[in-house]
Amino acid sequence: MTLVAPAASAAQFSVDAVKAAYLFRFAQYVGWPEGPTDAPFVFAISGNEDVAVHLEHLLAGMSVNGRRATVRRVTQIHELDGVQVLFIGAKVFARTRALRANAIQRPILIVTEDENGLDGGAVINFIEMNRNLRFEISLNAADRSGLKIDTALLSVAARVERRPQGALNCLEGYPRLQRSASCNIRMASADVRRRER
Amino acid sequence: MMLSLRVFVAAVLAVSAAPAGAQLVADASDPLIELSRMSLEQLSNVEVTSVSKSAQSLSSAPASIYVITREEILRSGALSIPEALRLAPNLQITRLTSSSYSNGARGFAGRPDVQNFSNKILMLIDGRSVYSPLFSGVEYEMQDVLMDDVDRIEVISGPGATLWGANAMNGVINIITRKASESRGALMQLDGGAEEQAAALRYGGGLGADSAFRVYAKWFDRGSSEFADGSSAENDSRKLQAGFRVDTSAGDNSFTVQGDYQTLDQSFQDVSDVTSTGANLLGRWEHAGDRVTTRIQTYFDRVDREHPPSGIAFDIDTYDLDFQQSALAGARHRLVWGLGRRYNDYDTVNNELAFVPNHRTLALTNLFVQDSITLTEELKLTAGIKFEDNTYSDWEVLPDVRLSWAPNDKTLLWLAGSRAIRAPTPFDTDVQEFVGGQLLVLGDPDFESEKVDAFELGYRGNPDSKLSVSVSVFYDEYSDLRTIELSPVTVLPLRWGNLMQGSAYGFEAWASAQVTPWWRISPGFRSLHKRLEFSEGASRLVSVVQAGDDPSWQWYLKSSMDLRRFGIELMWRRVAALPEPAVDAYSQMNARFSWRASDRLEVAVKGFNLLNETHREYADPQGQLIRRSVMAELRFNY
Repeated sequence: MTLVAPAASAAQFSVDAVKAAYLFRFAQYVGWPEGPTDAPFVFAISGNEDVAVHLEHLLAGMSVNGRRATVRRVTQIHELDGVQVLFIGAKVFARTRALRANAIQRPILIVTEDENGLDGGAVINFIEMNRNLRFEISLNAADRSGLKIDTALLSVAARVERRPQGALNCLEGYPRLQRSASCNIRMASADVRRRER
Repeated sequence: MMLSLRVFVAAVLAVSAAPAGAQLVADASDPLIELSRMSLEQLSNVEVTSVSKSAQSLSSAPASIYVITREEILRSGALSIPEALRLAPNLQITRLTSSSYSNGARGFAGRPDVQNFSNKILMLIDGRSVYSPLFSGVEYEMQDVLMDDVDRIEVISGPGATLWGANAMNGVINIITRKASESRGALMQLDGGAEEQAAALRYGGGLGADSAFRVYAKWFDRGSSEFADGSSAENDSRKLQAGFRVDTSAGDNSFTVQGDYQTLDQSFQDVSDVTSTGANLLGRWEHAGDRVTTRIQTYFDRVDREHPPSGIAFDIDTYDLDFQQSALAGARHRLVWGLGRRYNDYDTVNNELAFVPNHRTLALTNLFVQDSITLTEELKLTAGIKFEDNTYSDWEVLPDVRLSWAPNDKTLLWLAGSRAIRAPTPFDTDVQEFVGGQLLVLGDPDFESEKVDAFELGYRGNPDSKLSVSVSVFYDEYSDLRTIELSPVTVLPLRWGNLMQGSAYGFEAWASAQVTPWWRISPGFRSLHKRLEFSEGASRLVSVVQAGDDPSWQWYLKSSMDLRRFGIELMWRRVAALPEPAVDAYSQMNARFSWRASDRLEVAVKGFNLLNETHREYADPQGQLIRRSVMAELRFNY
């Protein structure tokens, strides 16, 4: 028990350890458009060695969505093959434009820690608020990469960015379109809005 | 009484001779394991440290809070809770005798020579309230934990009644032990010196994939303090304590069951020993949903104490049930609400000190709600209210409002106004004290709660990555403070009254500076000015100092050095003179020199109250001369 919030919040952790724990959790709330596979689940890390080390440590003996999970340090585009999550550290954010531009064309969850993260192609961006580590989500970026974001993740996000788009392809009675990622996300965000009301 | 030096040396040799090739177990106190089990919502509430490792520097609690970390305690070498509490610069700890202490925050530590024992602080051990319901004070000799199992001690000066609970009038001491999963493996600690010998053993491990346990036992034999003439007070004490904790998690649910048993034996000159036993069992269930966290906790606690020299004895059974829920409501609100009920069922054996009736069941009920509102990203308002009902007084209303402003991640400014009380106890209402058959003191059935309205302003920040600073000023308005009154016409017996009021102000400041990568210096200071006066009709038999014989200031300076495998820890304190009864200002120093022989073995030499052979912290006869204590320490982990 503390004045601000009970239980879990009282202990203190390094911000990079918490980022590593978030990356691990995010994977459980995002759907990738790929079939069953035996390939390992790959977290690619660029420009934040502390997060990479913490994540490696955390993943030891853990599986992600039933798959063996590994951490891969990346700097080059060709290293993105087979990657599900790409985390780009603040230090290298500005000079990874080419890497990001390539990654957004693939079903990769791009996570950043830069105030321009979402504008720079990220689906999720970490922000520090009131000494807590929170995150914001761009549904458009998720949509573009074909990722399905679970409503639970949206509800915990500090901010959800959602530019208006045509609602047509999400109308009921269009089953083929409804299966599309963009439709699923929009349904999900509608759920969130309903809950907030 | 002394652990023989031969045993100690043999133990050192045995440990050093352990096979070198034995497998090293990874440090199980791994925060990552804890993080990996947290839900998204829990992660979003975790406090993160990015600059400084010092736990309190980044705390966003809008209160005067100092967090004593586990590392600080271990480095200090403290073997008891009150000695560990000396690490908090916002707390006043006075050692009366070898084993009894008084505590105060912002003054009001009591004045035992006129039967005012310190009674305005709430102390919790893992959510279990441990102040005595008979008089609202902490009997420190009865409270103990294995120091290595402590995760942290949060010390809050100022009212904390709204969230923490009853009796948090001038402060809260919240002792939190580590989860069982963080204390795996075996630990052995031996301490030996002329004044005190102690041993602690712990073993912890996993129970399947989702559970962990630990069991521990500790023992000490502590020497006497001295009478004013330098002769031994013959009040040495021996304690044996053992306990366990089991933590289980299943999805979003976590369960904790823990318990302790202790038996204490204190010599009382050559008369007969004072014996105490204590036992408790606590269960807690917590469900961490994405937006709502629910917690239910219950415990049973039993204390038995026999004081043959005075013919007094008592036993107290405590039953407590507590429910608490916190929820994110929309984007801006974090609501915490809860309710709880506690029963204290006690019996006393009366003699010259008597409680009439000698049996009661006290009931304490509380209901609280608090909302933390994020007004803007920088501005947060926390408003709470608590309703509390106890056997002796009607529902009390305890409001608390706090505003905090964090213009950047290095600065927190906060402002608070709150009301807190110390509710009547059997010692206020039912007590009868006889001297030579004459009734001298009589409790007042109409005794009212002592009240404080506190106003605080504070700053906490990291002006530089190597420096953390906390400053707070307070202005407290007290009313209905307890006084000693005369009976109408007959004069005797004396009675308790509520005929004192007034104000107190002062400030508390502390800092921590990482001077070099291997040297940290932490100074602290607090001051207190009281302006108390009697209400109309007061007897003025004893001056207003009866509310607390408190020092008006206290200095504190701590230095921590890490030189490869060597550690040097120094802690110096200077406490101002006490007014009535008068005690001179004093300075004292604790030190610990440690050597990490290997990842598993640490050897240290430590000393407490090194500056004088004996020193005095409280006036004779309630206070005695405290001896210097030098000890060797051996800690072994595997």
